[in-house]
Formats: sequence, C-alpha cells, structure tokens
Amino acid sequence: MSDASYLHEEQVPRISVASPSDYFALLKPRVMSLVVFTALAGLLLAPTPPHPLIGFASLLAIAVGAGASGALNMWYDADIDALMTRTRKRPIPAGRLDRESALAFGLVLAALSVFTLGYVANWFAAALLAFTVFFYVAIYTMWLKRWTPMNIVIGGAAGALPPMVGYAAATGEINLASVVLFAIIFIWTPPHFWSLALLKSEEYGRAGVPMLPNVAGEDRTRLEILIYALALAPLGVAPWLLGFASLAYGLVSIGFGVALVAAAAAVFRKREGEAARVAARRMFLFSILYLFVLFLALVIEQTAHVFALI
Amino acid sequence: MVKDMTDAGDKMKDHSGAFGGPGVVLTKEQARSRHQRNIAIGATIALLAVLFYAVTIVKFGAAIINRTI
Repeated sequence: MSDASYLHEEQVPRISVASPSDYFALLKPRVMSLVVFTALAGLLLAPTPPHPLIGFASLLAIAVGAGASGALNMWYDADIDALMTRTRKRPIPAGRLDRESALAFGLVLAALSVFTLGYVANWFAAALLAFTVFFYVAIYTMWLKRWTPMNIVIGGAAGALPPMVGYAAATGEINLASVVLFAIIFIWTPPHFWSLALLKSEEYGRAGVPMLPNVAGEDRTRLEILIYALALAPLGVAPWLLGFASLAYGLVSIGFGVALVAAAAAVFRKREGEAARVAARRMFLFSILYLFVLFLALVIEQTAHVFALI
Repeated sequence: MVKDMTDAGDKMKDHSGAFGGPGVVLTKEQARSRHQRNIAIGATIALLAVLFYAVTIVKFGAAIINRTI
C-alpha cells in the first residue's frame, strides 16, 4: 500500500497496479479478432475497395469499438464473472483493475472508435458501429443476458453486425450481401453458445444467468441446436447461390455445413455421460472452425478479386 | 498569502502531503505499473496522431499539392 498513514482508511487513494495487458484483456482480444475478420469480409465485398490505409483505419476503429463493448461488458458483468471459472480470471474479478477504470476505459474507447470511423470512412458506418456497441452493452449485457434464455438469440445481432459495418465503411450503405453475412453470424451464434452452455450449465445456474439448458432443459437445448444448425447450413451456402461468392466457396460451405449438421446431430443423439460432453464440446469447437473457414474463404477470394482490379 | 503559496509550491516539489505528512509514496509495483501505463498511453496517442495525419493526407488525395503559389 501507499505510505499515506496520516490519512483515514477511506481517504487513502486507490492507486492502480493494473498493467497495460490488463486493459488489453478488457477488450476481449479473441472476440475482437473475430470481429475484425468478419468486418474485413464485409469491407472486401465493396465493388470498389477503399484505399488500403482507409480500410486499415476503418478496421482498427471497428476493432476498438468491439473492444469497448467488451470492456463495458466486463464492467457491468464483474459480479457474475467472479462466479464462473471461465471468467473469474478476468482483470476485474481477479482484483487487478477496478470497475470504474473499466467503465471509463470502455466509454472513452467507444467514443473514440465511433468518431474515428466517422472521420476516416463515413458517418453512416460510424452510426452503425455506435448502434452495435449500444446493442451489445445496453440491450444484451444489461437487459437480455440476465432476463431471458433468448439472450443469445437476440443479443447475437451485436456480434453479427460487423460485416455490415465493414461494408458500410467502404461504401456508405448496406446491401443484400452484407445482410446475408449478418444473417449467417446471427443464426450461428445460438448453437455456438448453447453448446458451451450445455458444458457450463452448472456455472451459468450458479451465476443466475438464464441460459437455455437451465431454463428449458438440456433436451430442448439439443433440439434447438440441431434446428439452428439445419438453418445455418443452407444459409452458409447463400453467398454462392446469390452470386457474390465463387463455386469454391460454395463447395467449402456445403462440406462444412454438412459437418456442422452432423456435429449438431451428435449433440442431439448423445445425451448421457462423457459422450454427451464430448459431443457438445466438439460442436462448440467446430462451430468456431465453421465460421472461420467460411469467412476465410470469402476473404481470400475477395482479396484475389481486389488484386485483379489493381 | 504569497508566502503560503510559495510554501505550498515547495511542498509539491518535495512530494510532501497535507499537514506536513509524507504524501502518497508509490510502492515499487504501483510505480512500475503506472510507468508502463504511461508508456502505453503515450505510444497509443503517438500512433493515433500519425494515423490521423496519414488518413488526412490520403483523403485530400492529389488535391493536397494543387495550390496557388
């Protein structure tokens, strides 16, 4: 502690020992990287790609906006983060950073990211980014997450918006292609998080978060995962069917879509013991790979298209 | 009055606190983390300044050299 013994206990200033890496952890870097990746896919869909520096600065602003959302989420959810093994090592519950600092950090970054995107790209994209941050923090984190098992379904819109923000940053508008990318992530989110919820239902229950397995039961959750996977697989092929992705993308999306449905079917069938846990874990991990591969395929072929234009 | 202000200034220089106390003396850990945070903030602001400068130049485009002499 500081040598301030002449002060009363409540007067002793709280001096932070948080390192830059603690603040970086507030940004949820892994979520941020997925946001950058999906926003890049949206940005590259633009008929005329922006100047590389404008594109880079736009992606940076979108990434910082996503990071701000993460920081504000950790500020609000510090109480339940402390109750779950998955989240208890985060900077606030671990005691390395106080909530007020996280709130200030998140608000400053949110304002900075929106202003930056408005300046470097356009104010429509900036407004969309501001809406994304608002939706994630106010609608999902503060309202839906602790209130309804549909939290992930509706809240998933926040995570699905980055491709639209990316496209808007490049063009100043949104189009059908960017809406399709939004829809893919939107439908992908529930089965992804419900697979995790099946594995961590005890922890979610302890934290009082009404995830679907805790509220509607595991069997209903398994059915919902299968239904969403069956909806997602054809939706993943839509970019090819609608003509803004190549046949190569179409084949990749069909192959991975079939594998995703197979993983979801395994979760639906295997309901007891270790086999059920393995199936849920496999579905959770494969869903990450599924989304990554689909967007990687889009990014690769759109990048090739951009180089062909040059 | 002036003497009081001069005294206050001297106190600030030798890091003394109110009522002649020792003031807030940072522990090694606090000083190190504050130093690291300062460097991170400084680097971020410098990078932002460079980024905004470069973006401004790009947005101007060729028009930036098109001026009357």
